[in-house]
Amino acid sequence: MTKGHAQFGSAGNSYFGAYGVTYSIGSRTLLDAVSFEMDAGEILALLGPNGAGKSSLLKILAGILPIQSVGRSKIAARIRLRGDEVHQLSQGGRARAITYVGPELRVEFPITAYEGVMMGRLCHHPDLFFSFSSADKFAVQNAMERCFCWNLRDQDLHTLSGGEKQLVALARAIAQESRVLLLDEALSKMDLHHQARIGELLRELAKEGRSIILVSHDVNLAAEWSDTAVLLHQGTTRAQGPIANVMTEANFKTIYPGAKLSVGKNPFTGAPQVFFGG
Amino acid sequence: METRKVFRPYVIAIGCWVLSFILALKLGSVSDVDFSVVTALRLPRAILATAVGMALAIAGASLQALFSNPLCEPYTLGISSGSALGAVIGFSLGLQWMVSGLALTAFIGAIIFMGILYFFSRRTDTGSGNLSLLLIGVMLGFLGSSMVALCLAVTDSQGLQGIMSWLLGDLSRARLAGSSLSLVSVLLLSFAVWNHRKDLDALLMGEETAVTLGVNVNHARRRIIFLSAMLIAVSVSAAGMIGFVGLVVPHFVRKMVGSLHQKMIPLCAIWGATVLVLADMAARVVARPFELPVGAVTAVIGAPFCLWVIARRRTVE
Amino acid sequence: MRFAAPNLIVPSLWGALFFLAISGPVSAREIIDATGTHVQVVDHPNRIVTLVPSLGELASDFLGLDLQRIVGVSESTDYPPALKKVESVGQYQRLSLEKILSLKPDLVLATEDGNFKDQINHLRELGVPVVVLSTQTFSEIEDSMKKVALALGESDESKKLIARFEQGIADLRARGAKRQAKKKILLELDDDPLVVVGGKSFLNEAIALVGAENVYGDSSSGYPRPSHEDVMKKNPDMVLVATFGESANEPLYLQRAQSWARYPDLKAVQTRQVKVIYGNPLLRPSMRLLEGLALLEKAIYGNS
Repeated sequence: MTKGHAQFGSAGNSYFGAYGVTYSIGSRTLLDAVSFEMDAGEILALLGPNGAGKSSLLKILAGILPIQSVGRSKIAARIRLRGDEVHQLSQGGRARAITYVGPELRVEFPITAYEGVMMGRLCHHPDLFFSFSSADKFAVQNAMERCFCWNLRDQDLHTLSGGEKQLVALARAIAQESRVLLLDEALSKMDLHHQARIGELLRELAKEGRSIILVSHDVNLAAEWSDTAVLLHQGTTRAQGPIANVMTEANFKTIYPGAKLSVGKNPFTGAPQVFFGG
Repeated sequence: METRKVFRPYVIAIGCWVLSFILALKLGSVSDVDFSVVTALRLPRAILATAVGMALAIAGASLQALFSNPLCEPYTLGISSGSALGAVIGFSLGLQWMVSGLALTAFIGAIIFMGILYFFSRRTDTGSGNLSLLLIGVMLGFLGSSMVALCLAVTDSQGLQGIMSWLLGDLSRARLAGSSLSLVSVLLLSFAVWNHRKDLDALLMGEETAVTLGVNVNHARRRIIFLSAMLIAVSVSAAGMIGFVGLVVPHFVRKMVGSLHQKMIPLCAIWGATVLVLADMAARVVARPFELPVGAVTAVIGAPFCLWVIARRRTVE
Repeated sequence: MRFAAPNLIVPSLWGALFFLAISGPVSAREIIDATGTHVQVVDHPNRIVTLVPSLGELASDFLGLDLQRIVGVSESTDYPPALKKVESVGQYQRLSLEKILSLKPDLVLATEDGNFKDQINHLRELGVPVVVLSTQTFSEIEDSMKKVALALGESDESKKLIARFEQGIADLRARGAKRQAKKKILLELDDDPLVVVGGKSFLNEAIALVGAENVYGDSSSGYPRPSHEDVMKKNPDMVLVATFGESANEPLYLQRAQSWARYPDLKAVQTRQVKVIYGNPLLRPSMRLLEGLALLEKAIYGNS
């Protein structure tokens, strides 16, 4: 298990950092100067109730919501990876730096799982005329095998179940070899055994040097596989730090008022777990 | 072995095109014609049909990737109507005497209608088989077509005859020089679209995924809209509104070789050309000695096909 | 010098004749048609295609018995009856260019207002000699007749026919001018919607020629579609329903005439001046027009 913990406030010695992420539409503020940092090899859980701004935060980090002021919408952020300003990277460079996996992979056209995963290799070929090399093919096969979907490679994506599609989506992100993985409810539809094994895969990926941010409405799932956490509430950070420090009953009482929740420990792994009742 | 398998779809496609081209030269509204009629009338028509079929199929494929919706194509999205309106306005300004004069105004019309469509598509959930995009397109189509009819009735004393030609597609105005020029333009534009195959592939996965794959989506979108509008303008200014080629051809090509555009684009081009050459031949032969408008032939086959695709998707969902 | 001159003149005359002989009748004559285009036409066209029924009639008038020189006509050409057997080249709005070309015409006759300009241009680009005629006014009609006669190869016969036509028109015009009380006429071409003869049509001129007044003669359109209320306002002395069938008495047109009984306030209805008139000869700007005008005159003024 990698130790690593977020350091609040330091200006950029860490591997990956987001500073002053702000997102407002008109007078509504969805994210208010959220900042955090991560080390390489760290898995960070982004926790908070619905509407706290978790998805938006990830999309801003991924570049899906661009940093700009357009009309009534205003997004500002500084994102750094290994000292480089991410928004100064080319599109391809950014894709090799950070990638986002959403909750649902919806494809209307006949694309096989293999082709879908191979898409992740596009950012490694900036030139116009190219063909996928054996290195690409190896990366794809490796990623799919690690995600337990190699056997699905010739099937059309829209024939796969929700959980199978999520395995393929994750395989794509792994094949892309991005340094930072943003997983937005990306395990939510997987079967239990896959969730467990993917969780272990995430630890392996982190060990290989990546930083991973995990958003999951299943708090215990997030807690099991993460080292650190950021707790968002109404667009601001309520708590940050090692997961055990963030997942406390006190924090949950404020964030989820009126519910009977208590926090304990997984007897096998030591990870914090939420229990109903108490 | 591998190489032969790779080339097989192309060989089959090109073979079919050659066959249909020959058929279109041999058959027409009059049987037993001599060679001068063939070269004077049928050859330019077949060349134009090749160019227009190619353009419409590729424009259809591009629009489908752009909007992530397999029901998109220039006619059903109303862009052909906008282009026809542009061409007719150019016609009434007397621009047909300028080389590509009509294509220029047709392009402006296409871009404007595509802009309107795009603007509305951002405001509603239109990807993923949602029919609201088609609905917007149908409305735009009505708008464009009725304005074309209005324009022609007002400016041209022979207006009513001209309308048929624009609104239902008409390859009979093909001249050798003009058709060849159209073909060359379409080939160049198709090559340009093919150069964007990576972007098109990424867009198939949805816009958000495309961004995260490293595609500059705004850039790509602008380029693809521009190229599609040009393809549509070249076809509409030469041959009026012909629908459903851009819907049917990409659908079947995907079934044959998958959705990746490396193969999709060239095969759509060849099959699009073949389909339209055959449709034009049918338009001339079926009701001899009268010639049907080719758009009517493509609609008679294409519209039921479109309905069938919609129905099938509903049952799958 | 004086002795050399005759020696040069005669050989050069022979030389000129020789060159004329070998250059043959390829482009013997140039005709300027109604669009101002200079069209090269052979001396004796043998493969004539007419693109509207009226031109088929007109050509037949001039060709007399030589009708086999017409090899192609437009779809609804029915007069003279012999033309019904000739190959059709399609509807006049949408001709079959393949058909026209396959007939290898050496002369094509078309109209400015009937045929599709683009198709005419296409034919010209392919090297087919197309003479375009305009038949909107009487003077244009007379001009067209002269041009067609010229295109077909002028003959004494054609000159006689044209002279007769012009004389006939002149006579009518003279009689018409003498009419003191000009009857007010409504000439109906179609009902539902009601289509009448307006200002921009040679039928309007025809009405004026026979000494009557077209109640819609001031309309800027050729074939306006007024409402029946408007007709009540204009209150014509006579309503003429033109028929376009095979005969003058088809029930359809008799019905149309009878349907005017729905407007008993109209002067024409009250005075029983709603009549049917055989329209075909009137509509075709050919020699039959004289017949048609005579019918028109008779319908309006009886035998006076």
